[in-house]
Amino acid sequence: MKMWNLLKDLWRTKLGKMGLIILLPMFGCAIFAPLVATHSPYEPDLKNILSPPSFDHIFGTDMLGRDVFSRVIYGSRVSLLVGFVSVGISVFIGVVLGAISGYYGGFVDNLVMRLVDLMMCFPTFFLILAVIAFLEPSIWNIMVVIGLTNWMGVARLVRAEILSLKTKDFVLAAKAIGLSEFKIIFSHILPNAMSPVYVVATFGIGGAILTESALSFLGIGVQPPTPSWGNILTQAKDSIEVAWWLSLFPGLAIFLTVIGYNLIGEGLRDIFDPKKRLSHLR
Amino acid sequence: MLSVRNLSKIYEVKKSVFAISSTKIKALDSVSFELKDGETLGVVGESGSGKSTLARCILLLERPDSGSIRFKGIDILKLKGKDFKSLRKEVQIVFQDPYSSLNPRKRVIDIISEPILNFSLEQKERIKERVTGILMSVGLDVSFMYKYPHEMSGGQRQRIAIARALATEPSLLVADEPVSSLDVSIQAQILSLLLEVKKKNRLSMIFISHDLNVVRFVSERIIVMFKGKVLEEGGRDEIFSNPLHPYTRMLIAYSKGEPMPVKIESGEGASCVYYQKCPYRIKRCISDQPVLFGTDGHKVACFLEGGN
Repeated sequence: MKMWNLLKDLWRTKLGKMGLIILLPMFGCAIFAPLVATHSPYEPDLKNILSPPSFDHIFGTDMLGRDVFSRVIYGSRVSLLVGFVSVGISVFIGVVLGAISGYYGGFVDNLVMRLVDLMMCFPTFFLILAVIAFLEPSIWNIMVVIGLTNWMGVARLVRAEILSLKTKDFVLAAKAIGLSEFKIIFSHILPNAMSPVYVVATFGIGGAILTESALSFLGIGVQPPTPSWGNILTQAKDSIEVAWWLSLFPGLAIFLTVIGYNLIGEGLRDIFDPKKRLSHLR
Repeated sequence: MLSVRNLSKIYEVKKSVFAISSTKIKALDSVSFELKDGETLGVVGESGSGKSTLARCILLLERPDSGSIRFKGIDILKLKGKDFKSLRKEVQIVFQDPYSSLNPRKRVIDIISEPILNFSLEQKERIKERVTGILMSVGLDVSFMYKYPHEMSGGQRQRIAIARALATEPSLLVADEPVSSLDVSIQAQILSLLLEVKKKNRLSMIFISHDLNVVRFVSERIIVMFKGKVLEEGGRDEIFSNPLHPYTRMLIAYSKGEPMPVKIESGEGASCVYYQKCPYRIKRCISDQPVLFGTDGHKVACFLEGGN
């Protein structure tokens, strides 16, 4: 019910509406990929190598004669998965550490914040490259690594929110009725601190999809034959002079998805902005 | 019921981020008083006098730096674990601003049932009846059960805050400026509600306010605070008919709408906290600190009344 209200509010914002228009069909494609795809994404068709877009293959075919449209559709599953799982991991870590840091303050706060500073010193992408070089490249490893290197912003945000919330009277009242600290943090403070986290997480999904595409493009991400927008682009770069369609469509898919998430992020920001807050949200 | 002895709380405030030294602010400076069973004690003082700090210390939301608080004979500052939790059940608080004292994401039923379930005062299946009963007792009906705080007015919210405090069946209620943020027309309703629930639940109450008229309406005894110190203590009628401390006299004059001239002169570092504003100050006020003295019925901390 709350989710539904949020979607309705998002639809009322200009940017959020545009984001939803872009992303909702993509979600549909990803979830119902077997129904949407016109061909198998794995089946080579040696009679139809590198054929340009036609009625049968609307995005053309690659050098093995596989249907690019179907591969892009199946690739959206990877992107969605990576986006949600890795951001889920980073939001979880960030929220828990940020909450503990902000609520307890003092030594714990210092410890967590210095850890954040430390993590922020690493150039994230190269850290990911180094870690993946040691582990075997797989979609799960990528999601975990992206998640583990992106929680710092969320932690700082949540900490700041909690610092201002923990002095509110309703938190004191919760203490006065003898609730445990766990309940005070997770049932009273955190739900009030989550709005900006949703915004940052939405932008984070876009970022994670880009990172995954980049890793797959470099060949250490999702491994062929599993289609991902990144590794379709890798194969495309060899034949870019003869087969533009092989680069254009997966590139466009990445572009649209990331822009979609960013637009939704902007929409959420408008909704949660106390200055332009819509009627029923307080 | 409650016996507070020499309670002190000092806050250190750094003037800037880079300041090495910090200024010490005495929010409470050896505050002592007794609260008898079933009594209402009014605490009056301007903002910054330490009233709210006193409330928070009694609720153990903040630790005092020194002194003792005995509740029903037990030193509550030494309580741990289970005993600590059972103290939480016995002492409850109503805050000033009902807009910040209710969690905006919880419905009325959640707000009121939380303390009940936390102390296992009712089974989950029967929580609705229990909450209904409490709502009735604060003058609201069942239709408020599933409302969110932002769907209610200030007065209704304050009723919910009182309901939450009553839900644990406490024996001491601390009301920290419970009507200061409400409309005048609603103030009277909330005050009579407080008196009514106090009577019905046989509560003792500490009523904190800057408004002398409000305190007069509800309290049996009054203490007057200024800059963390108790300047005068006594029965309500005694205080109003025979105020002894210059500060109390000034407050009463103000509340009647006949302001007295106030001296605001240099006087930093004087021993008496009221020295700077006192029209009757004498030399001794600079060097010595007046202590609270007098009979049980009326005490004052002022040299003019012959104290040491």
